Amino acid sequence: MAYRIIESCTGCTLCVRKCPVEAISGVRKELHRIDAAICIDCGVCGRVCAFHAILDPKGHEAQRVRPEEWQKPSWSIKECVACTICVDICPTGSIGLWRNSSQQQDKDYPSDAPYLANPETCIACAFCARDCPTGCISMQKLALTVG
Amino acid sequence: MIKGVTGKILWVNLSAGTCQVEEVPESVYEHYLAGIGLAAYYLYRRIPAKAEALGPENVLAFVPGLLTGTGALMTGRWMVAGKSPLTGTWGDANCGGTLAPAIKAAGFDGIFFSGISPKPVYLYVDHNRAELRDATDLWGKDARETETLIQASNQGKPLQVACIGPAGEKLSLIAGIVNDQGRMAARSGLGAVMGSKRLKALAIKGSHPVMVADRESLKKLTTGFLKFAQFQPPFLNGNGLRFLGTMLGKMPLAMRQDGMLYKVFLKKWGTVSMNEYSIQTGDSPIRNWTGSNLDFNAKKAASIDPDELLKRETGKYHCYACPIGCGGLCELPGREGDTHKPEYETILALGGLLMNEDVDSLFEMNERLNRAGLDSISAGGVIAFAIECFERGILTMADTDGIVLKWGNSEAIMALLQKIIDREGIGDLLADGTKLAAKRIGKGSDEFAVNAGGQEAAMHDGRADPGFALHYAVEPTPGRHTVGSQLYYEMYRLWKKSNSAPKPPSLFFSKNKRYEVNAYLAGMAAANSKFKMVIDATGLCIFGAFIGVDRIPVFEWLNAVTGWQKTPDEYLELGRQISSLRQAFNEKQGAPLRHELSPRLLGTLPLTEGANKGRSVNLDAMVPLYWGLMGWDAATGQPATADLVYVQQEGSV
Repeated sequence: MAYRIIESCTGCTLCVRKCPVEAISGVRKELHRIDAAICIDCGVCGRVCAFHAILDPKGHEAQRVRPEEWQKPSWSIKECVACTICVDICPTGSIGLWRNSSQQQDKDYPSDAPYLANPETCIACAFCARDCPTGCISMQKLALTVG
Repeated sequence: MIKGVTGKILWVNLSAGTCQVEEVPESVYEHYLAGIGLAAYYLYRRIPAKAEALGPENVLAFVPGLLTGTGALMTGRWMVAGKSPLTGTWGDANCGGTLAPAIKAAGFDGIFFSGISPKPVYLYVDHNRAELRDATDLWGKDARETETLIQASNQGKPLQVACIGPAGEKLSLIAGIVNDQGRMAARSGLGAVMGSKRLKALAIKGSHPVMVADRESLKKLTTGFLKFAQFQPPFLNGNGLRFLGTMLGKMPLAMRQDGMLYKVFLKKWGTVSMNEYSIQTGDSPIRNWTGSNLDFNAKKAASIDPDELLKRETGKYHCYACPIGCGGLCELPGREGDTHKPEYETILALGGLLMNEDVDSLFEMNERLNRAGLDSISAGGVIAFAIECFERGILTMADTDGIVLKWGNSEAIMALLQKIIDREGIGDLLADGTKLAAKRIGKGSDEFAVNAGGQEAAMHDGRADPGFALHYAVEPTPGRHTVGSQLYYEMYRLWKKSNSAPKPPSLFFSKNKRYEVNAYLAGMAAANSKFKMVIDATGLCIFGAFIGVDRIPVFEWLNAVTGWQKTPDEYLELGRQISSLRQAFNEKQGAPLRHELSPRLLGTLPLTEGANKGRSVNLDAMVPLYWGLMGWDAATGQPATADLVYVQQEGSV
């Protein structure tokens, strides 16, 4: 299972730069290629491609989504058990622990709980929501997403 | 291929500087699961007989568990295995933290190191590459600095680092391997093996998904388990715990323990919840195993009251995939940043064992040990040995560079610890554990070198629970407290799932029954040993197992993840096979199959007061019973030939 790139690729390199695991090779203005052994099915290549050049693992054309529309994780913190599975699964390292946050600490938010530390690097793969054992993560359009 | 595993391991030849991926045949998983079983299979086959533990022939394996990264909870332990330079036997150590899921997500069921690098290196692995990088600049740095420096050179997803500190570099035979700023795979001296290979660290990241056969079932099982994991009634305070310990210590009857209670303690206080309770019940050794709860009494132990320690906590620390979070992070006066809260073992090894009630010194020494990468249990044991030698005139101020060693003198203890870390003066003599230290000092000092097969016994007294003494003596890696005891068996509740595990007859029973020699107690120990191998093959945390197998669905998770339909007894049989393999490893290496225990561990001369008054343990009749139930030769402990047919087959694997 992996994403694939088809002929309509113009070689813009955007997906190469966005891929969190360096699975895509290709130089400017040439057809890019995804290494199926490395691809983790996060789908970010499809979300950014403006040329309908990405097929998902089922062979369907991946839909481009404007970055400001990307859905990102949000935690129902009362149900969170702080198992840190989301922190670990995130392929971009966008999720951190609240105790390491530079933001003002909120006493209702446990220090060992996760939060979206780097919204700008989140690629909306939803692996965190998929693997959360309590189902306390929902994917939402953030109010102030930078994309 | 079954699900839940990657089917690949990484071999790193440090002499040649090469990394090579090897496919693991499915039959290996069918015979030995993954995790410690995988390590046992390859180490048995690839380490030649009578190999030098600190030589190029030794292989060091880092393995996550079969359930790691699958969504099963409390399964984030990583194991390191190799031939132990401390005991000359099979060596392994186990650690939580963050390394295990990273190995799996990088696409491997294990990373194996052979050879010796000509210069200091570290292994870098990500989703796309595995390479050795120069570590000349990291050599000499402590474990926390090393991790921070490696992280600083990284972008994107964080690297998970396991490394040695200066203790491992200096080949201290009691050195461990450190992960996540102070969690440690401390036992068996495997940090020295890493140091001998000039391997400073592993730095790993990956994002490969772990496949699961039946994700729906897995999720359901996990949700069911969470009810137990999250059950947390407001409970006893620290004083109450001490009182409970005193009561249980004084009662003529023993009561079968339920691990749910311990789970509640762990979530609130961590392992330190047991400090005063264990002292009062006689579980904690005092004054180099010669004292009792009357010597390290309630007044002295007040400084390590769990409530007092909790006050120092600034936040909870969770290992990967753990909803309990028994770890704590604390501020340490005089140092920047967090420090991991010392665990029970560290507090007792540097506290009660040394009669040291200075809690600030415990925090400081814990941090120094974590940075140096040195096992706190063995460090406490060897300091206790030195104090006793000094007290008896075997060591003098001329030997200690003027340090006056005295029970409970925290300044002297800290000064000696620093010398051990630095291998300076007397520290050089002590840095390889009590057994070697006694050999170097002579003068009858071996009487005070309390060890099991060369390794300092942990802070659990076999005189209070003979199960500990038995496992200290018969496990392929001696002196370990994380395998079994009668208490552990009660908490594992294996009889709820397995037909082969003996069912305890009653809730209350005479304490004298713990000291009997019978098939029931031997069956308990055999079940512990088998189950612990399942635990280490799956990456399960022993504290999760304590909750009881009818509540933490480890066997059911295994079926949901792999797609197998095995019964708990079939899994326990695989656990037995792994243990046979480790025993066969010892046989091949010419190591003893039963390990010698210092007389103090057995109460050969029983204590005359305190919780363990008059208690002694005789293992001579028990060991053959245990060996028989493990399917081994009852007279010699040799594993059956039939157990080794698969591992001894010829072929490329």
